[in-house]
Amino acid sequence: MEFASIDELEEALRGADYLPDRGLSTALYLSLMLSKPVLLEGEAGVGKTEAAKALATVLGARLIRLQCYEGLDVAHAVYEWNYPRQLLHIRAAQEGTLREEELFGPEYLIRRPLLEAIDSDGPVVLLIDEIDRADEEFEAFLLEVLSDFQITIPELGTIVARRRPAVILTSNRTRELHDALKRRALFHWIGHPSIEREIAIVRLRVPGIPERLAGEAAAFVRELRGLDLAKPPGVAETIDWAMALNALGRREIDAEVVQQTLGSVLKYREDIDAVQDETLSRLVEAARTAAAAG
Amino acid sequence: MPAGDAILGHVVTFGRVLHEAGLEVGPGRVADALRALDAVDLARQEDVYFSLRQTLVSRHDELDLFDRAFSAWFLRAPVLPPVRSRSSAEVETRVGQAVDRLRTRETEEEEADPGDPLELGASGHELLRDKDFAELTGDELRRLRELIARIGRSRPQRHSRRRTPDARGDRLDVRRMIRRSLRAGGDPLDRPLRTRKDVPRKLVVLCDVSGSMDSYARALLLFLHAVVGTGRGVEAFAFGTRLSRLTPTSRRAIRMRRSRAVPRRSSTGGAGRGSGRRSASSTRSTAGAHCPAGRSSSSSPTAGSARTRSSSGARWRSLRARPTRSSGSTR
Repeated sequence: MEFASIDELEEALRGADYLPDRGLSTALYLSLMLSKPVLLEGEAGVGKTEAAKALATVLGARLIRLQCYEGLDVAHAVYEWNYPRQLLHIRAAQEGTLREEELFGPEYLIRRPLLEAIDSDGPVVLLIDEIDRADEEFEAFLLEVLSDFQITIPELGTIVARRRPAVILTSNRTRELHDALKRRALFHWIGHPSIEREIAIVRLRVPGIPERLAGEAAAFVRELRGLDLAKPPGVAETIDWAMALNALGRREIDAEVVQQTLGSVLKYREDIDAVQDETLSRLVEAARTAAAAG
Repeated sequence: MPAGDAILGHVVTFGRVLHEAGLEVGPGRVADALRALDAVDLARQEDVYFSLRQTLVSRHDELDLFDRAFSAWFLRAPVLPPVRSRSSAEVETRVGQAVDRLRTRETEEEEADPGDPLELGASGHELLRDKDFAELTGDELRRLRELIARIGRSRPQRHSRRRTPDARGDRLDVRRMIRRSLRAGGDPLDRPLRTRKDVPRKLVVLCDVSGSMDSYARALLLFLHAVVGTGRGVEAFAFGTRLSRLTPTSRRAIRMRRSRAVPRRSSTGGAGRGSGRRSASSTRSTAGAHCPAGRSSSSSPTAGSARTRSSSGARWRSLRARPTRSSGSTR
């Protein structure tokens, strides 16, 4: 599916229950127009992965996700030979003759996300998630793949992408990525949304939530972000919390219910300890005032 | 001048503004920016801003600088006075200078000197890096302790000769493969691998705590203590007039601190400066739980030599008698 303008893409993303800001829409639009990967950086829980999912939905494309981790290697990212199957085949063919090509055919290849994305006939959105967690060696390999969109398997030859996948890389910025990789990608920083947009996101994701509760939850989380916390809550936490409050049948927040459900918003014990008693009451009061005013 | 050329000129010059202000903007990025501008509606300032930002910036900490440069160059906004930190003030100045220089160059076609690399404000850590140990205040010493602990933790690693099972190893583990193949009637279905593991290098730390090093002994001992805390394979010695082995004392202190068996004392109450002036017998009772520096005092030149010798012998015997010694030290 092609989009003629940023507005059109933005509209389609809204239709897929994702509310992007103008910067993110521009980044995704340019990524499609220039056929360049886009690197989304931002705090955890601001909607980087969701953006890729929404893009796949609006493009009618298959989402292929490569979750990065320390020690990720080619065998888990690109391909691997199905060794036990080859072995069984050798056993079965023990009586007859067996040619080597038979053993290294496509049916013995375990296709991992990168190969799957490059060797796909249909449209694909390739999400390379949390690239900052992978090793630098893998980053260098990825650089090669993202430049040429081709993968060489010694036994089979070179597989070139018939249509380039839309590539989205995400990073939580636990380490700085290599400049060479960044040069090949568009860069977009996703910050925490404005209060109005956060309320809109909560109302979209938590159907049936009272308007006042959505406003107060968003305002309270915003107050939390102003504190010096180990992990400030992202939009994902706001949505989780709003869901919890809605499930409890609340129409507005008070110190008691916030105290009981604080674990949905803050994920570190130190952070929860820091938001107790007077601080908690003060933040709840500030959130209620802000929501009433807004 | 055609509109296309004007945009080209603007973007190329803006790229140079950013480059002079310290961003890594080369011709490739400028070309990307121009392609991006081709794809968006130039009448919308927001779209132009994001197109340029997403193609010309690649680091989060450059965003602030980009925003200022964009306002100054495209919106002709005055460069605002610094409002936040010292570093942002300097960024401001750098952007202001770069914009002025490029504007002047544009109108007068004159060459200006290339800008200095972007300078940022000095951090507290940088100040501590050059400070004399003897001049440190109590607060600085506390911060120094954290920094030293961090240095101590980064012990160099080496490849061990031993191999351990590892799914991503580089050597086939033949023994295990054969053992497992027995389950499958002799077919090696599993291919277990082994790899060489990384272990910390062994370290022997010699620390001079003699009278001339009086002012520095505390910082050195903090380092020694931090290194001993990194695990096995470390031996620590302090010397004044003779050598004292501090490894067991330091280990015991770390263990006690971890188990919180003793109440913490303030960091200024340890041996440090005063350690050289105390006698061995008096320090033995106070040393250990807090800082190994107390032990080092027995080796300092100011301690009574005869008394030190006898008490030192007693200490060695008492250390040998302790059951923790064998697990705490490595030979």
